Amino acid sequence: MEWIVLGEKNGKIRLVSKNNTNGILPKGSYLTIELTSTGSKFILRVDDTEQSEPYSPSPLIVDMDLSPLKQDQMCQNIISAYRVRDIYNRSDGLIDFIPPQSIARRSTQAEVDLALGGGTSGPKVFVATLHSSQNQLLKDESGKHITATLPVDMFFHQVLVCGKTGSGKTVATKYLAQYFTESLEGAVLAINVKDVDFLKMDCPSRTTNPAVVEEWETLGEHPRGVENYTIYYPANIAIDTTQKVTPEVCQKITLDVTRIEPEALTGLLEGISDTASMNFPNIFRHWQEEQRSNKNGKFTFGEFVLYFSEGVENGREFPTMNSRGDSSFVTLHKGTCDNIIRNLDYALDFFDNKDAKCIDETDILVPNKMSIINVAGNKGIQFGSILLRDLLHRIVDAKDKQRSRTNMLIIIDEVHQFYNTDSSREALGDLDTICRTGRSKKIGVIFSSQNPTDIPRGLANVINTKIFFKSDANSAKSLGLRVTDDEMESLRKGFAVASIHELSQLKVLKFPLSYSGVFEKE
Amino acid sequence: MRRGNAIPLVTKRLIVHNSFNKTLNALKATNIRLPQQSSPVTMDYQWINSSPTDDLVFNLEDIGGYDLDVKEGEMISHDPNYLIAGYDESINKFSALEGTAYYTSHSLVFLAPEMYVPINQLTMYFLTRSKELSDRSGGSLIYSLQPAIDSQKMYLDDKVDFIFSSVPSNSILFIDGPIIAGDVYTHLVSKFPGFHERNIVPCFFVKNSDSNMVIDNIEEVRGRYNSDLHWSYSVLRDGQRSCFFKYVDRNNARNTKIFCYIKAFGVSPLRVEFYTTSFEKYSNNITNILNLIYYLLLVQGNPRNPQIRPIAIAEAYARETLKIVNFEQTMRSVGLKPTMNQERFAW
Repeated sequence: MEWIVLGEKNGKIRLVSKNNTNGILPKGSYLTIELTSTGSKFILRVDDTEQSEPYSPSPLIVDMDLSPLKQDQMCQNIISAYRVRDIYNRSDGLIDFIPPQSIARRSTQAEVDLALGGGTSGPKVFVATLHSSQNQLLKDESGKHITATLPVDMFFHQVLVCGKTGSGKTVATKYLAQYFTESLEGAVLAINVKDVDFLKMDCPSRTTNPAVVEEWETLGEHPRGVENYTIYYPANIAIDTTQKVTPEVCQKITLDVTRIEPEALTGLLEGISDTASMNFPNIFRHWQEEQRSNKNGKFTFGEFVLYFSEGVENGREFPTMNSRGDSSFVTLHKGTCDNIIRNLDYALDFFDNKDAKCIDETDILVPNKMSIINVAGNKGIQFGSILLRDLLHRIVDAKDKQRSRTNMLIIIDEVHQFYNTDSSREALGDLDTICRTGRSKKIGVIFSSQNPTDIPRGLANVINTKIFFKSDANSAKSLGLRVTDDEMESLRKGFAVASIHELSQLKVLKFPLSYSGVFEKE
Repeated sequence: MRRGNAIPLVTKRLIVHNSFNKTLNALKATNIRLPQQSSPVTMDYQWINSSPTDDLVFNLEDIGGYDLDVKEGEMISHDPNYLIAGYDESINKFSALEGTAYYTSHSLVFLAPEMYVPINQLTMYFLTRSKELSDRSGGSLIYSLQPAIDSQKMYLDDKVDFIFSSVPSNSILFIDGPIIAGDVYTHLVSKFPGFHERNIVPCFFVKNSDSNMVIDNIEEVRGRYNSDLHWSYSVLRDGQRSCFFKYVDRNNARNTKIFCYIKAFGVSPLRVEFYTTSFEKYSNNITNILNLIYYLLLVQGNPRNPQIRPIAIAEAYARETLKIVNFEQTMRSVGLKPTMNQERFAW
């Protein structure tokens, strides 16, 4: 298949198909023009493509219920394409012309790699096209899928994955997580908020879809579970093993009042003022330090609840200790105290459960390990938000003090579900700091959500990679992606429009099916 | 006409006639400057096709309209046993001080399966009234006291040779323009046996003619109409042909043709002409061919320019191929300088 250069118009190269080309090259495809006379090569990306009828036949004949001449039904493909990569040797500061009547052909994988400018290491995705409400994978002349390599650095510049339910965002996130675990030898911490989305990644994916199998073969990959895989779940919540979650990889956890960061407890507080929220950790810190010195580290959260209740009865004046260790006193309003007591009582069963493990950063920052914190279920979000905040502090601290060199990826799936309480919002607030400093500490965050407005304000500015599966086009446009409403509406499952960090030429892509944790119905 | 075998393979070609380079080199050698702008030439057949007053025209059937069967025409158009071709040309004229250059694209288009296959031939002649210039060029610049007429004779010679050498056997060939009478007719007549031997049926089309062969010679209609087209438009319904007429040149009995008028839709009819020998040889197929013509007129479907589709496509290719050779660039490449005016007003 070949196309002939007509010339340039409004900064785009215009081409028309040759006779041997019997279809429309979809938008997003790549074309290569080679000039044998100069040895120059130009790689173009199709920006607009349409059908044209060179003989402009009259509709009269068909209107009279007569069949038309087949010869009149010949069509051509007219293309407008951007020059995305020029390869030439000239050194005079000028840019080569692309002469009219030059011949263009579909680019090879190597040429697309050149055009995209990505490296060779990173998760591979399929370059896709979008035309007339149809998504297709880009292929070269031999029919092989064209792939693109997402840069590894993308992880540490934060990623937003958006899409409606069933559009493919969780599957894509799983794919990225497995890559991070296996190929980057990193540690992944994922928060599972819904069903068993992330709870079966120890099992190889299963599909009978030949297209998926072909995609895996193209990548030289096969379905496999994540080997070092642990699901942590609150001791007060039973994990749903009826959905074939492997019991052996599940670990009951609890919060340890002796070690928990006082700031993490603000995750418990709902319906109280910001000032009270600021005072509460200092009240807890004072009590925690006192217990540590008096009881050799053996005390329970129940004892703190009792301590606070007694304080309320004795005038609501509490000794405090700030993070620098300065002591003081604070008097809380009665209504605030009542609220705090209610919240503490609600959280009692998060702490000090026998037979449950207290986890910290050493459980998470393990190379090649994927850790899932399951917060689906009653009270799960509150528990998760306290735990996550505590863990985030510890992980950042461990990285700051160079106790760990393991790359870290944090995945917040269904942000909109996790974000619906004050407590979890607090936890996400801590992610802001991580997002801004993640690159240097090698900590990455993937936010997965149905709507980008679910992301805490301010975070959107530090997210450098945006991947939109089928969702609201206006949201995507507000984040700088060039996509029309129709194009967004026509994205099939697994296909996405994207703005990838350091890979600006990749616009439409398809993620392979994750090798683990996806089970298609037979 | 009808064959059991598949139609022969035709491949698209652009032929540059040897007159082309010969003329260019002669222009260079004699330092003739051609203008950049050309003007299209409309072929004027009147001088070679005017009917002597004592011509004989008579009807071969009852005067009146005869229904055509478009469905039959449709079937033939899709029948792979017929190779259908259309011919047209496009001519540009460059007028210089020393003479006139005629740049012509002869265009044949075949209805191959699924696609149109064009074959085009480019010719160029420079005609001058200066014998000295012509002699100096060794005859490559052609001496002519009647360049307009001589150029058309040369065009007709090229047309016939091009068609004869390019159209494969067993073809129905539609040609824009009338069967030529007069001197050139003799040349064409010499090709008839060749066409017939190879089973090629040439059909000629005339539109916008002010011919009066019918209204002057047929008693029933004499004096009632302005032209033959006026008559045929008045008596024919859409989808009808007129009766066949035979034209005989009383001065030269070999100059004969058979024609009728076809009215496809509510615009001026077209005249379809056959060589008498073709008509006689393929008399069993003439009705089919006329049905096919009716269908192809509807396919073209342009009431402002009633034309059969293969000829319309050939015309488009003729125009396009004339643009293939960048004339100004070619002039420069052989070392010809543009005239002063062109240089001054180049932009």
